[in-house]
Amino acid sequence: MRWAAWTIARRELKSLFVSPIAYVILGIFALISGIHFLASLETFDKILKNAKMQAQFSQNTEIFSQINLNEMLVAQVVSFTFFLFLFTLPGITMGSLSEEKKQGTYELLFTSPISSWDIILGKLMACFGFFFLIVASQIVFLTVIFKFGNPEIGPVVASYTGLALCALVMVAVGIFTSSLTSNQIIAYFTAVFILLILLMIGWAAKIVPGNLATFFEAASIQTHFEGFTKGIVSVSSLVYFFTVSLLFLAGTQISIDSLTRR
Amino acid sequence: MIKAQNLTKSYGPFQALTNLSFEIQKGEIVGFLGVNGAGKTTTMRILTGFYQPTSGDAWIAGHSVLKNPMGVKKSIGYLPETPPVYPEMTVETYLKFVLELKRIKANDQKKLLDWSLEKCGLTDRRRSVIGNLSKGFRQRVGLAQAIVHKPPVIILDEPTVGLDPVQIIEIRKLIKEFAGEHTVLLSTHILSEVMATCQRAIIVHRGKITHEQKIQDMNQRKSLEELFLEVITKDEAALISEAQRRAV
Repeated sequence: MRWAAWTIARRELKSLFVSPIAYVILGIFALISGIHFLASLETFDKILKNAKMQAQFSQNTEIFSQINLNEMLVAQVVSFTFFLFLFTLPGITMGSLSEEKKQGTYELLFTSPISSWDIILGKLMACFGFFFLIVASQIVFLTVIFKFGNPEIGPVVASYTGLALCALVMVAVGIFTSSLTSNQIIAYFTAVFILLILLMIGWAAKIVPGNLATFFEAASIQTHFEGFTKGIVSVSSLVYFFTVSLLFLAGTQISIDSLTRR
Repeated sequence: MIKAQNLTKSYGPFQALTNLSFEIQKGEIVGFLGVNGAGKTTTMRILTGFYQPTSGDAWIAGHSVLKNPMGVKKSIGYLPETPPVYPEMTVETYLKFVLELKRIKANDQKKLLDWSLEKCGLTDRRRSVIGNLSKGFRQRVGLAQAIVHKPPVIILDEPTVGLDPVQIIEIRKLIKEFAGEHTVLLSTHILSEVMATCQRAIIVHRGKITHEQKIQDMNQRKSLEELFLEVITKDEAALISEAQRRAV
């Protein structure tokens, strides 16, 4: 780990927790995903009861094999978290570089013997560290699932890996938009906009013809994420997540270097 | 210690600096004097490696700002016009952060931290949150940030702006103490500031050096004030006469 990047990351994380933003986002997350988890649990319970009744009625237990805890509960939780991330992670990244510009502290950073990649990696580590905190708040759900059921461990790990990779892309996009402006609100909405495009391009794939559809589908973040939630870890998806993140981080580097190379 | 050679900087069609050259010896305190918009901040930003010059080059402690910006950044301490502080941090944690940014070894950090706190009169405010400090104290934190790693070259952009008279005198005294050990370049548009703190003055106007002289010599011949006004009014007069000529 590079030392200067670590210095930047530590300061950024600390300042996130001094401002109310980190608590607000953690709070929203815990509340909304908690309600969602309860609802999903309730639905799953209903399905299970129905299946039991049907099995008793028809003396046939085959129906249970169609009920999959992983697909019906774990995938639900993870997909919902993904959608929450679209709107909350930009809230974490929005101030990362725009605040430095607004406060004039970027003059300190750029006249210190560190590279612009140190700054970018530091910001990335801090915001990505926040992702782990959010996931940590979901340990409760996983405990419940593992205690009262026996899901396959593979897909659960794959789902959370997929979520982490999506978070990486989202954080990279957020840091990029934050580097473009000194206004946090603009950084937030631009990030949400770009992320929605990355998501909706997959929906557009259903209405455009031929090759374009294939391209749109491959460009959509949802396509790659869904593979992970089913427990499929494909190389092409890994390549997708890393290239898209790298693309936006490289954009960030160009953007912050242009500040000093005018 | 500081050497600028034919520095030119243009922002699009606007030419901020034109062929600026000067040299500052080790241990000198030099004032950079000019009206607002004369090119002081641009020059300082080039010297700190923040901006790249359009043409020309500058050397800080032997490192070229074009070829070795990292070497330059290691040898300078810089106080920009607005102190680059994080309002949510305490004075102490902020200065520790700066020391890490400047890549100072962990063993030396505590000593340097205490030294800079004492130098800038911040020892009893070390645990205060910067956002709660008055403007004068925030400026001191900015100054502490520029000197905390004991750099050979200290560059200060309008260090006394917005301070009350007592604070101004204190900061000036502090800057004077750096003479000999550190090389200091400070910018200001206040004439008396240069008289009070500097050994030499460089007058810039419209991106050019129009005068350079030792303060002692100035008192004997013309006062700095006369010189400064002369330079500026001469230029204005030339502009007015040119405009009149064009109008005719």
